Amino acid sequence: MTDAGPAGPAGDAGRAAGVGPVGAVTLALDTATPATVAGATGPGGTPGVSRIELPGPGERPGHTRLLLGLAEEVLAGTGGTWDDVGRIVLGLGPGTFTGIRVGVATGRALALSTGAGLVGVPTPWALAEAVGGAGGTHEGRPVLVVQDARRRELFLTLFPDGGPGGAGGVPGGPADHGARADADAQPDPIAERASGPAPFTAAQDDLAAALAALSVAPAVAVGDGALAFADVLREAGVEVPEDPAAHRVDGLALIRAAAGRPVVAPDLVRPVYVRDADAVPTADRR
Amino acid sequence: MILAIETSCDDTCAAVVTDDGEIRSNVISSQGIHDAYGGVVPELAARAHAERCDLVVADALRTAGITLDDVTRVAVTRGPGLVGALLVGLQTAKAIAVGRGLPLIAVDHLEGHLLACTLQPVSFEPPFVALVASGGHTFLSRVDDAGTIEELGGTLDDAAGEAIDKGARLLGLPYPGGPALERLAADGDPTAFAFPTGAKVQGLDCSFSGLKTSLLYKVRDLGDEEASARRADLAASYQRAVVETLAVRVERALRATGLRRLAVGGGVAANGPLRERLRALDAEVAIPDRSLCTDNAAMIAAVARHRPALAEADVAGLEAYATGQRRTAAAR
Ligand SMILES: [Zn+2]
Repeated sequence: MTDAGPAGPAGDAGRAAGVGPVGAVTLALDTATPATVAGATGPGGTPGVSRIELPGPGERPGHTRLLLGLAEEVLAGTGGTWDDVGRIVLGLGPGTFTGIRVGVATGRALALSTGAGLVGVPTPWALAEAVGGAGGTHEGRPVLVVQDARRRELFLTLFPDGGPGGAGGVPGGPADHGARADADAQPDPIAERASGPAPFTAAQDDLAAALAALSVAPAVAVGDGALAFADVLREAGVEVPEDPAAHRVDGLALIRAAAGRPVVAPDLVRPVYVRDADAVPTADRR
Repeated sequence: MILAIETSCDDTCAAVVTDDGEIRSNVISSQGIHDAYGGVVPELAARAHAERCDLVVADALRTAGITLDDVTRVAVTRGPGLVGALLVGLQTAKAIAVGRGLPLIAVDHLEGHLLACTLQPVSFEPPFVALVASGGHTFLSRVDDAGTIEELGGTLDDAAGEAIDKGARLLGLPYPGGPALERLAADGDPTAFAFPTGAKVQGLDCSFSGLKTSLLYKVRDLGDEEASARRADLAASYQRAVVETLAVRVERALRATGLRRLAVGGGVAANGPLRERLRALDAEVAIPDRSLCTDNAAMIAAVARHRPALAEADVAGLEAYATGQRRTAAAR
């Protein structure tokens, strides 16, 4: 997989693999939700460090202002410096378009400046891993991630076997960017959906119908959309955890969700928008 | 060695410039995806930046024959512009600065256009009067020895490039209208129609909305057949009015400041008749190469040569601005 695309500008396969004393730190970033999230794990066995900042009521997300500062904090928490970062895991979305771009631009530029290898996984993978992955409250059971997609829509992602990380990921899954190296320049959401647990949209009003149409009945649902529509989900027999933390992206869960995923060329690490852009030129918006 | 990044609109740009103002690379990756929409689509622009910004940076380093180890400062456009687009370049620059422990200089895009002519080989240093005319902005400034900037006047409505695009559209030309209008005008008589230039309106501000309306009425009055037969004359006369509107204000600004030095920047500076008209003025006139007039990152480095870096503690949290901070920044 790693040879599917051109070598990164700072590509160094030995270092990027995160083996040995140099490049032993893995850094994770996610800005798909209103939260700004960073996590880091040090060399073998060192406990990981995770940080999250949430906007206050009525405040806009502080991704641009907060992300690099949080990254520096978690990195310092592992006792490492930027020279020690060997692997950067990015949550690719879906979420707010601007948010996921802030994360992807930051992560790709950090890879360029440190020589670290890049891995991208959809953000819901982290949410599913935390509850359905190894050691989670619903380990190995079907998890549905429900995210607020605005415009009265939700992003749904179904994980039939619990978290994506412990099982070593899904071959050909949505984060398998190498497999898409020859595809069109734009990621194809439909193709992603067909090849693994990838996000898709559903109208808020149609959530009950969307649940009934799932191939596997979820045991538990997490995500900000799950909290907002807990009544509909519980009505359908899906558990919705009371703990707010279960509905937030965690940097260390993101790292676990990406475990075993190969490093890919930076140009293959792209936001997962799911939705197309509204093509209205600036001149017509005035 | 300064590494500069610019993503305020639809071009993804990175450049390497020496501290002496020598351009070692100036990479401009045009997205080429907006023409079909007749204008820049902000979300599409931001998406394209996110796909390629780091690659354009790597390209700029490679072209300059250096690595990040040789870079001593990073410069980036902070605003004004499309925020979604700006954020991609801003985060890229911040991440490189933080990851490498390099100083970061936040640059105002419009100051970039003003100081593009200070780069080699033009090396036109202040003091001077500067005209910046592009699709998004049109204004006149005075730049003094220390590089401080005082705005003298500007458009009250459309930018000059916007006026050209709208005129081109009325004449049935494709977007972007500038080059097409100039080509069509080359076969026409610029004195065939008298379009308003606001020559009698005092001051250094200008307006293009009346000009555009005037073309609309003229086309209507002539009728489809006649207007179509005289398209080249209409284009030439319209273009002349845009050029005169600008040139009259430039002459006044030179008189008012007593400076006989003029720098020109912005995409409209690529217009042949405008260059000719301004070069004929009784002043030393500097118009950089086209690649330095349209949006580019070398001009961002040009500003960085004259500006201090942010305090280290302020780099990670730096945010973009869409509009409105230029006067404040210039007053600093
Ligand atoms: Zn510009």
